Amino acid sequence: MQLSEHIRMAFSSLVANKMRSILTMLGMIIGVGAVVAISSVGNGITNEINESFERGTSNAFTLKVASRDGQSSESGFILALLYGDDMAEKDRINDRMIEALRTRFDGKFAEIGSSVSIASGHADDLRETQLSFTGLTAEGAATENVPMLSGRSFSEDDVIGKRRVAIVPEKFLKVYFGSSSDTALGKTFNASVNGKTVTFTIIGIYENAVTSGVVKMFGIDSSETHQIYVPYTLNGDMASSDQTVYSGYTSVKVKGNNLTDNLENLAADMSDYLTERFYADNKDYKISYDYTPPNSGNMIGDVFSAVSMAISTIAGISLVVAGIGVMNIMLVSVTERTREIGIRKALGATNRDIHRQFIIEAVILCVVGGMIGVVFGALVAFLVGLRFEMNVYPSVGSVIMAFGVSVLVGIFFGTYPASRAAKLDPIDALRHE
Amino acid sequence: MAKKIIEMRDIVKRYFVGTPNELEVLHGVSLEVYEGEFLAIVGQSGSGKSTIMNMIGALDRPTEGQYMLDGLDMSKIKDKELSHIRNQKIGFVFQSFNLIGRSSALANVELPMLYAGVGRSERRARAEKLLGSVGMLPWKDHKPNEMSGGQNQRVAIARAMANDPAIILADEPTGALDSKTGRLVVDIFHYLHQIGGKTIVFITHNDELAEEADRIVTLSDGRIIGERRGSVRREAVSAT
Repeated sequence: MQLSEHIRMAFSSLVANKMRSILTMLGMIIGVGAVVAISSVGNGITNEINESFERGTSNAFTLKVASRDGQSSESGFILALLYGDDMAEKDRINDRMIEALRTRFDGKFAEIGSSVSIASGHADDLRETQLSFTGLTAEGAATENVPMLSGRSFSEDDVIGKRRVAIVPEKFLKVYFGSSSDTALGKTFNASVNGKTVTFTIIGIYENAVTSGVVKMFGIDSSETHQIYVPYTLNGDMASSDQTVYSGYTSVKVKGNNLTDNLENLAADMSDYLTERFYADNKDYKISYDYTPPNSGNMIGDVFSAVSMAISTIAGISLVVAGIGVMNIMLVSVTERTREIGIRKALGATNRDIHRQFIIEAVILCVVGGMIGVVFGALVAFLVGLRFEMNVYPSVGSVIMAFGVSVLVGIFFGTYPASRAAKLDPIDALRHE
Repeated sequence: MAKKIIEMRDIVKRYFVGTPNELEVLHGVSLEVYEGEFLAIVGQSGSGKSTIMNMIGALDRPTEGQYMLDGLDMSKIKDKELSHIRNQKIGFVFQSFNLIGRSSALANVELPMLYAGVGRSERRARAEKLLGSVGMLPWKDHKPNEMSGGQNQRVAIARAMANDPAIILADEPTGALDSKTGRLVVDIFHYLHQIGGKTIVFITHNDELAEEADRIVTLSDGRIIGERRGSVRREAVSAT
């Protein structure tokens, strides 16, 4: 007898017992649904975390001034916050060094740039609109991964000429001009910084980072302050009167290109080169580097995916419970249909035919339940995603796995009832009331 | 004489072999049925009728003795082949109809062909033809509980004919029917026998109906105690 006939027959007998079939499937629906929903949401969160960690960190490293006694300039940074930036100009990385790097390592990297936090202020007409100014070198927009929407980045002339030009976020335009279109390019705005009013011309617009649901959940959304990029050479103009302004940088960022085979080696070579050439007689400082390989050091993401895996596994246990339910119903069904089995055997059904009939019924219960479960789980995941503004979707892997597990559950828990049915003696079965 | 389609030699059947409850139901039965014969087996309940019927129908195997069905030695046959023989050579008609309750008349008639691997359209066409031959075609979509006992039995006879078996094996087919419907059902057997040329083994304890057979074998206490010709000749009339 053909498999398709078996399947048709199994469907008709399941339909004949609708209520029972649906209740039995419910176990599978809930089990598979839970696994799919949990793993989808878990994947969504893990992806968000990974993305927010990887944004700007991959394919780049930082060269920084570090003290020779092993302490990096970060402790210096804290000191600078407390007592004012005390790293003298001679200790800083300057444009001459960057030129030297460009010559020495020509073609081995894509960009070298730096960013300097300059000052914060507010838009002149709107006191609530907080602005934070970051100075960039000409290539700084690229190394900082500023996601440009329109307009242009800074040129060498902008930087050297200390032009009052700015790259602003999309959201700022909405607040300041009430529009976000390209027409804002070339317009000016006034900012109040350290008691001075400075007028900037907008030359570029960048996209605000998507504030993810996770970020909102953890309450670390800082998007109320608008990040404005300006040429870093404006730091003198914008500083308060009692602030000493140094030229040079405490760190620069280098972005690799597709020819860069080993970023870490390049980072080491560059920092060694700078240290030997420019810091040989500097007793206090040298150049070191920070490099984070992609997909590493992201413990939160790892922990999260482990947790969601663990919860999925626990949800998977409900599949075993559902499978036992299927087995139970199949055993009842075999007992109930003993006479039918006898009739079928008298009419020429082989033991294998009977075995198949019951196995297929069990598998159909599980697979149909599993498919409804996948839809149900995906729906739950979608709603969770909608609620927390996350990109949540069931992975193909989890759907295939749920489907495969359903088939296996059906086969595993259907085998015993089916073999009981197949082994029935036709004479006894026909006599059964 | 025509060829022997059933040939039983010294059949012994014991149940619970090797236990203290060992029970011998048939004590050496020899029986021959010829092709195209209408044989009635009569006897009291407990005489071994059902056991012999199970044996003939390849549902059971003898403990001792030899049973040849249509030239096949049944004592040497595997379980799987027994299923095949039941499917191809035997058409069962039971006292309690034994139709599958949730399936339509048509689906019930198709069932033996399903197990024989007959294709869908051929199955349907043949099932409809068979239902027509027992006058049940208008009822083809009805389920057993939507039909009378006589109608159920007619569907069951159509089902027994599905794979054009060598023998129709009827176990008290009128037992659950009133005499008028029983008459109608037996007439269908006469029709299949006389017009269709089928071999029919008819187990009954209705002596009146048994008299219409070609030959009557009387079973008592696990032995054949008598054999005679039927005294009534009933001419076949079409069931439809």
